[in-house]
Amino acid sequence: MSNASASAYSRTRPMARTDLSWVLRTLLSHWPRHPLQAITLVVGLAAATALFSGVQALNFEARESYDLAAQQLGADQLSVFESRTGEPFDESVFAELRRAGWRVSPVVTGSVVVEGRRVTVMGVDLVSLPATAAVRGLNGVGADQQESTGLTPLVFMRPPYVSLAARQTLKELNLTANDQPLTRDEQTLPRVVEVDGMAPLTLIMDIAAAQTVLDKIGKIDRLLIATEQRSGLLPVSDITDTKLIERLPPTTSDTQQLTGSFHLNLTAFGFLSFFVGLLIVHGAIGLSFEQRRPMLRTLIACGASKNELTLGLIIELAIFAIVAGLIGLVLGYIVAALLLPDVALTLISLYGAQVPGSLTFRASWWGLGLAISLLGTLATAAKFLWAIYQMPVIAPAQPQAWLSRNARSHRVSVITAVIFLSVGVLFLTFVGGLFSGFLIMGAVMASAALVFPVLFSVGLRLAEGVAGTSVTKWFWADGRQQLPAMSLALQALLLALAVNIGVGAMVGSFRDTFTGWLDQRLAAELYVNAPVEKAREIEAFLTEGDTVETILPVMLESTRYESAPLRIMGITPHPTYSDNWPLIAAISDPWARLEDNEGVLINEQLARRFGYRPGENIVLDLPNGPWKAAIAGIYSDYGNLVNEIMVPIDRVANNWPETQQTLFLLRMDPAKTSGLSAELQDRFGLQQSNMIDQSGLKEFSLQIFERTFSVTAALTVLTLIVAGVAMLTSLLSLSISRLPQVAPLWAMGLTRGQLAALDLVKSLLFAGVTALLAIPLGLVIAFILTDIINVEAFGWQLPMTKYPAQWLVTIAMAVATTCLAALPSFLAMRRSEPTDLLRAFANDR
Amino acid sequence: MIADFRAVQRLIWILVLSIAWLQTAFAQGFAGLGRDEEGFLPVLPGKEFSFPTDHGPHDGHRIEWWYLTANLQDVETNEAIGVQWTLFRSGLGPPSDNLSEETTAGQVSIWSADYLFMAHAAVTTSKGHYSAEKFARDGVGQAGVSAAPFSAYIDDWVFEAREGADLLSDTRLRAYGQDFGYDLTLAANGPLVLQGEEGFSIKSPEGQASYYYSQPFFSVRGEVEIDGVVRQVKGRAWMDREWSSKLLAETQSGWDWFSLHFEDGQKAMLFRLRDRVNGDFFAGTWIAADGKSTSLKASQISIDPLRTKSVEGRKVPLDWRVAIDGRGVDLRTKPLNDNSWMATSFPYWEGPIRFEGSHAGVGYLEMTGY
Repeated sequence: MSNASASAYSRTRPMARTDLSWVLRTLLSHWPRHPLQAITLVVGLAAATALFSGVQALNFEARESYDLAAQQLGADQLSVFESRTGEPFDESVFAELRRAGWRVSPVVTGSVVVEGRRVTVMGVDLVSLPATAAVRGLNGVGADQQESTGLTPLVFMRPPYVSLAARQTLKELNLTANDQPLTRDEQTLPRVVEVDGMAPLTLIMDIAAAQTVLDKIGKIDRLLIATEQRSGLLPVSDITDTKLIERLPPTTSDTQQLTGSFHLNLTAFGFLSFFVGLLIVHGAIGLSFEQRRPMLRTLIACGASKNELTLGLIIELAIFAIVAGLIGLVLGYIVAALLLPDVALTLISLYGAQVPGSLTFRASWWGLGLAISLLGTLATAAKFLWAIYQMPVIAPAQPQAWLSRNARSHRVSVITAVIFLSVGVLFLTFVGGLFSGFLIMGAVMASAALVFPVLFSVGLRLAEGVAGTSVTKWFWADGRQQLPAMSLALQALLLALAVNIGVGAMVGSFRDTFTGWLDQRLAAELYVNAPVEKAREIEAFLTEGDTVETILPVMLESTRYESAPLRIMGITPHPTYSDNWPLIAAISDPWARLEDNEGVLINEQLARRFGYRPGENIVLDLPNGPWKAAIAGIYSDYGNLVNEIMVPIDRVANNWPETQQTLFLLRMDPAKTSGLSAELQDRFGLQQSNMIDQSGLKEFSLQIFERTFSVTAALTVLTLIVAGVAMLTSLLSLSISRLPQVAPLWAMGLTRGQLAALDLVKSLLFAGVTALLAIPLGLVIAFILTDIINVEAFGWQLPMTKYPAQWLVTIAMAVATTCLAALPSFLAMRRSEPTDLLRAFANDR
Repeated sequence: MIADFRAVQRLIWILVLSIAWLQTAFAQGFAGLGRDEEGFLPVLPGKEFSFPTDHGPHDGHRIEWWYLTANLQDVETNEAIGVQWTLFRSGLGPPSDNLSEETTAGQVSIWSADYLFMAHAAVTTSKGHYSAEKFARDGVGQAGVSAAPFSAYIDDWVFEAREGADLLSDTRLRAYGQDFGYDLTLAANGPLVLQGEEGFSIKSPEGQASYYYSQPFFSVRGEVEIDGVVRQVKGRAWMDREWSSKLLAETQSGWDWFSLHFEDGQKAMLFRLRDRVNGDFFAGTWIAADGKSTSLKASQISIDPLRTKSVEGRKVPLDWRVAIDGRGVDLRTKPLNDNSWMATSFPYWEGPIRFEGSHAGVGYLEMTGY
């Protein structure tokens, strides 16, 4: 650079043979003279990169944790057959079911005492264990472990057998690898082999060894049911005389889906950040180009070719993009690191301590951040670069000339918006899937941003038409004239506000749905799951005492519908249900119909899977014979994977006379729940896990949502800051370029204070209108998130709730942001020197 | 309760291990056919076959199978359909090892099995190849074989004599996979055929051998279901019964095995055991239409690949020239479906073929070790 400039100086005709470095040097010389503008550009770019990369990092970390957790929860998704009494049953049932085509696998469980510690022993049959889809991603572990431990199937399946145990188990039982634990009953267990990922104080061994150790020869405790079964299987009651019940998998999917939704929430924010980021970069670059038009004109006049000029500008932009991108990455890392504990806390609450609380530094993350910064800068600058490349030699002398062209581009904007939306709708209709969901969201946001200035302009023209005084007429006309320069900032504000409303509505709806779901499932104050042998006794105790106002027994049974598991929930009709249980769709008086045995309610999953609608009939194969029931309503059953049907309790009792009522919903004074649960623990030895206290669980889950909200709130503030910066840069740009327009009004008698106030009012008006328009757009985005993306992602629909209070906050924040952003130009106008205003006349053209 | 769930949760690790483990188990029995006898019973010439006893399992031998292949056609459309049903029984350890743990009361768990069963089922059409596999322990009732009345089963896959039928004269064959299934009736129209020297089938110059007999005269009727569509079928089937303790020489890498139904009612079984060190080993049997069998000399048999194609990432010869000197046989065989790949724990190629040349007909081809 220095050599080049030195040689340029030595020439007698410095610009005769132009030199790219010389052009670049001239272009860059703009910045030391406009430090504030340089800072704005860097801040804008850095903020865009920071938001994008920060959210990406969070997203990535959350997704990693989510996948990990999902894998570890996988095996829970198997249903099991158990005997009705919970007692072990004859092992021949296994062969009976297998011969009938059922894919089941036997398990023997029990416990032994080793070194004074109670140890769970599980016996499994490797040969018939279902290899579920949940093992994906964990393959290969077996081979490694075989090598290091000498563990082979033969070793596992043949005498003298082995006991698999976690390292922690070995430690707690004072064992080293290959030791043979001795039980309290002086029984020698197979040698222990350490295996990763097992539960503590658990030994897994071959079923033959476990039967021997647990003295359960000839018996099994349960049969795992593989997820995939062939169609047309006989019901188990037709195959074996042993009375079996199918216990469905615990609904761990609740937490998986909660996390999935949290992740989706972050993705939506990543999306928003990307959009808002591009807009601010666009604004900042537009400003710098606009201000340098006289300089560009001079450079062209001095002989610089347009190619050199364009290339120089690209290099300049690249330098900015890299510098600002690096700053943005550091900021993004800080943002992510600050927010991660909240994210991690949320995930830890959901899964237990499985989520790393620290951010992993990834090279790919740096690369992506810089690439986004560079690409975003160049993409958003393309329009200006093209304009410069095409610029007639004379035109650059008129700083505002290019803006007037925007009027013509209105039509183009509308057409582009229509094309975007059409593509989105086409994809959604014919392709579907999550990608199409996000595509339509992008299309809506882009279209809204494009159409927004057009609408605004039309509105201003109408206002101008009805304006009375000349000053108000000027006010509206000036607003319209200002609009092209302001529209970028306003678009950024619009999208920031709209997505905040949308995502806020989604998270809020999620919270409401979830607590609503808790209300349905746990509508009662206390929920007692009594052991079979104590159920009668407990029920009698609850009936006699006066603590409990109402006892609502529930009977759960399972059967199969179209060879998929179906949970039948027999309830005691009560306002507890009808008042709390939200229905997605229903015919009239669904609860009365249920009570009168004229109808059933089914969950959304069952309805969706088989296309049922209220008013239609469903035929169930019950032990007493087929039963045709009218569907009175469909309830949202958030997070449940299993098909479910709700019937009056008598229906279950009549069909399964042996089933005991073991589940009780208790309506009572909430203040007395802890006392009662303590008493139940003392008197009947009930475990805490047998009782669910509604308020406790609700509090816990609300905490999760509060954390989600705090992450959302932080991101809201950040996006508003970005929009505010965009506003600031636009207004600053205008305050310089608008002097010639304002000066005549000053000359006509308006004071500088009045002019400044008018400008401020105009900015606030713009922001207010933008905020108002952001509400419907936000609702559309919320609709896309809850009714399209959520359905595509999870298969169920979130009932959308509207939060007017949140909108008011949004408008207030928009106005506050605008006030802050408009303050510097307001002060500048107030303090502007009369000489400056006079000079506007002197310099004008 | 929660702790219990956690324990079940951890089963996932076992699920992971199980796949790799089972492969190793069978590698020591089925695919590792070249391993030493290690205390299992040897296969010696001069055995007197005795039926129905020999239809049943042979304890003391390491590996044994009941192997059916059927060349069928859709009764309505005449479309060719191939069906395979195989039950393998593999010893987990030599008989002397079979010491099961007893409880203090002297009871023994039936799960401490000495043999494992593995089964394969497949349906092949020109458009698709569907396969499934199953595993089971011996002795728990999930899988087993009894000689009289004849029944070989694993879960709901069954090959058994129909009620009142005499041994294999009238049987039923069933299997079901995720997207296919079949239920066939097989009637034997000819005698059992002893392969090799009176059922003593030599596999290598070093003397590795098996006991081997076949029932190649089954006529078949029944139903095949593919992707929910049920078709009525008819055709013929071939059953192989073979057991051994050491089937292959260490240097043998795999085999190409043909069963051929000639249109004139004659049949042939031919195989080539590939051996890079000692040269390929050939053997076969000529079966007249009345069931009279003649062992073929290695020098009479030529089996040469004509077209090789990559199937599931492996180079597999698909078209073959098969010639039998002295019998006037010179054939060119083509598979019904090039991709008859058994994507089972031990993958191999097995599918229906048809042939032309000196004779026309259909058959089955099995190729392992590619």
